[in-house]
Amino acid sequence: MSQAEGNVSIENTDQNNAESSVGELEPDNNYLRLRRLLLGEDYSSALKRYISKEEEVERVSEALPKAVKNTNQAELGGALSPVVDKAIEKSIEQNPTRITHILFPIMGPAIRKAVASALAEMVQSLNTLLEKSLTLGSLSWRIRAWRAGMPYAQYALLQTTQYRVEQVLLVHRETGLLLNSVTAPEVHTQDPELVSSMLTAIGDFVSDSFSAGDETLERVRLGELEIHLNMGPHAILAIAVRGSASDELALKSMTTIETIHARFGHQLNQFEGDRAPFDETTPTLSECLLSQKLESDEKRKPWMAVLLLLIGGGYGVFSGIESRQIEQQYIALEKLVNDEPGYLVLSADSTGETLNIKALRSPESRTTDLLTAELLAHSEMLARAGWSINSAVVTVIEDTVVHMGPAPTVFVQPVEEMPRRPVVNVEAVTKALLIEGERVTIIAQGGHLSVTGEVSEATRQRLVEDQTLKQTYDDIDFSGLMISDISSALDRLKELVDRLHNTVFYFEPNESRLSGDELLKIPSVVKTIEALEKQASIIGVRDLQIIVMGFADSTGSLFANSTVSQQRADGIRSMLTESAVSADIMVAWGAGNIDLDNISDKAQRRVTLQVLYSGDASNSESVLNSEQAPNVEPMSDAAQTLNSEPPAEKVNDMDVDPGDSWWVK
Amino acid sequence: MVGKVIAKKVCMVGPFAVGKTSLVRRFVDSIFSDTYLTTIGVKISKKPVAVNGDQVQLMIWDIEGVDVFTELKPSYLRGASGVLLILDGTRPKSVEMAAELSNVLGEQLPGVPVVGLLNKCDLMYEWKLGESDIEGLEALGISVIKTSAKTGRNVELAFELMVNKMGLGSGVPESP
Repeated sequence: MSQAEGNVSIENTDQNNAESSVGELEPDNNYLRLRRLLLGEDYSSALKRYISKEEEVERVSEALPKAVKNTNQAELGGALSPVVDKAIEKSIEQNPTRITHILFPIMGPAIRKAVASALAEMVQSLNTLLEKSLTLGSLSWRIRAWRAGMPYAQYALLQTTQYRVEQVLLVHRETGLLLNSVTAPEVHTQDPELVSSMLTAIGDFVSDSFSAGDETLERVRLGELEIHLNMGPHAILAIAVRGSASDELALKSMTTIETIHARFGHQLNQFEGDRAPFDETTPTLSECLLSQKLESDEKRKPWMAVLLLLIGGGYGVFSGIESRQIEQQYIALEKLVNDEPGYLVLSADSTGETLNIKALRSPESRTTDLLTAELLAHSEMLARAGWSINSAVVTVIEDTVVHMGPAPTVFVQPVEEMPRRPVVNVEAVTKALLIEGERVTIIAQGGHLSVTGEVSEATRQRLVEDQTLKQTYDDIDFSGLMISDISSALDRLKELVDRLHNTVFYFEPNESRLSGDELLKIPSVVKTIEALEKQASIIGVRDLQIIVMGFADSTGSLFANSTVSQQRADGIRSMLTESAVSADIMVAWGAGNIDLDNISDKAQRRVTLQVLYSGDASNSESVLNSEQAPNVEPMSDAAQTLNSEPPAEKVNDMDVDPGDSWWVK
Repeated sequence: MVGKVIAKKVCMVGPFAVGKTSLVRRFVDSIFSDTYLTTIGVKISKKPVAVNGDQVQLMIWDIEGVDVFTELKPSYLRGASGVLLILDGTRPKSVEMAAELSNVLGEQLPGVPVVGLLNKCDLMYEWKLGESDIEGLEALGISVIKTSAKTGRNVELAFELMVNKMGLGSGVPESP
């Protein structure tokens, strides 16, 4: 320490001497004397030169470029870098514009490039979103986003991130041996056995090198490929993913490793190198082969828009066709009503599938119920035949009955018309001719007299030969007068039943209306049924029922057959009841198709009549034997003509010879 | 008849530059190269071996050589079914390290068979080991076999011996 202090003191004196060097020397300073001796005359000038700054600068500036060139560049760079940093900082601080001007040509393109690339990315993403927004996918995205409880934009962003699991490895943690692996189709991978061992080794290396605790390697990233390692106590699930995986995959990977440990815990613990038991993990591992693909390569079509357009267009065409079909049906139905004898259409307007027709009709024309039923059937047929989309049109006819032209009955008083004839009490005359228990109906109509009923042969004879009646009436119709024989009454009933049983109405295919010759059967059937009713009441048959059974052929569906057979039965029943057969004994039943195969289709399309009754002969006899006064039911002209709805209107419509009619006109 | 495939992990352990990687390359790929490339960390190779109708898939972990600066990392040994301890017959020092390594192996892998390979036996003029050294190794419980990765001598046999010691083969093959 003292040594150093000594040095300093010497230096100080030295300095002082140097300053006063031009002057005289201190005689006691041995050092100075020594310098003088050594350096001679040059001492003061040399001293001066070293001290003068100008000379120093001049000397260094000459040497510096050469010296810099000769120095170690790296060393110099290192030494200069903080100085240069500081210098640049200072320079920018002092004049920022200059550095901006310098950097502008360099930064411009760089920034433009960066912005362009960012924009391109955004446009791509927007494209995907826009494409998606009008596709079916967007709808499902929206639904899923809603279900996931996140905004659609966030969900869409998640969905547009792309990744694909290329390989899933199940690795035994202890040995690093591969237990099982699955690979996505068309992915070329390295030998999974080597990869699994390497992954374990890398994991070991990383853990050994960087971690002191139980932390393990979770992810290895190499460019686009990322390997997710999910460690279980005995096995590692390694998933190689290209792209950035979603949370979904992380969750899947976790559940998978848990599942495998739960199911194969024992096998994992006892693993001795035999992989066979782990083949069963393949389906579980395959579930991890998730991917989210951007189908940006192929041009996606806005299916949603196309679908909406198609639906719109389809609906337009459909409703156009439908309304046209309905229109046509309306026209056809209106024409049918107009063509119906006795009908005159006043107006027709439609609401929905209902056609409201206002019509005038004559009293003898068919009732509106019958006509509308027929129109409905016709409409259904049209609908079926024309592949119509809509169902049948219901026709509602609002009718006003008006008497047009000649009435079917004559408004003439018989007495006034034929004054020459004596006025007789037909009822009294007829009654006198009958015997006990007999019952006849007489209908006087102008010069005609119709006598119907059941009488004995003798009574009939008397009636036919009665002079009073002969003189009073121009012609007398006894055709409705049946010969009643008590013993044969039941036979007669049975005969009528048999006649009905033998009656069959045949139909055209898929048709519930009678046509042509089949219609002509109606009047005789009506007559038979009326006779049957009468006969039944005479002999006291109870519970008389006629079952109108409709049948269909074997073609067509079960339902269609059932429907058409029921329509046929209903049609016949309504025709018969319209023709004054009492409706309360008629039951219509559609049996569908029940015939054997060997019955021809033509024979299968039919309606038959089945008569059911109860009661026996003794019962009938008791009725017949009861003491009753001869009973005559007179029907006056007035009564007949006052009836605005002629009972035999059906017969008229059907153009049947009035001679056959039960009623004499 | 195809039996089941059994996978086994085998570790190559030894001082640096004794020829561990060369032995693996000779065994797996039948290649030998004079160029020395030091192994960093571990290199893994796969070799299927047929034993008694069973296929044994050897996953060979070629672990980096051990020297005064590099210790044997126990994590690489975990789960191994057999260890090949490679020594250099031309470097007596490598044999001295065998005892040390054998201790580590005994700690980390108790009961796991260890086969000692005295490699580079093709360099007979430089061979520096005597019978006493081999006896010393055998005293540590290590079966010793002389191999050469360069000529391929006894390489296959060494691995077969290993497999047999793991309890998979028919028995110990006879040493030539």
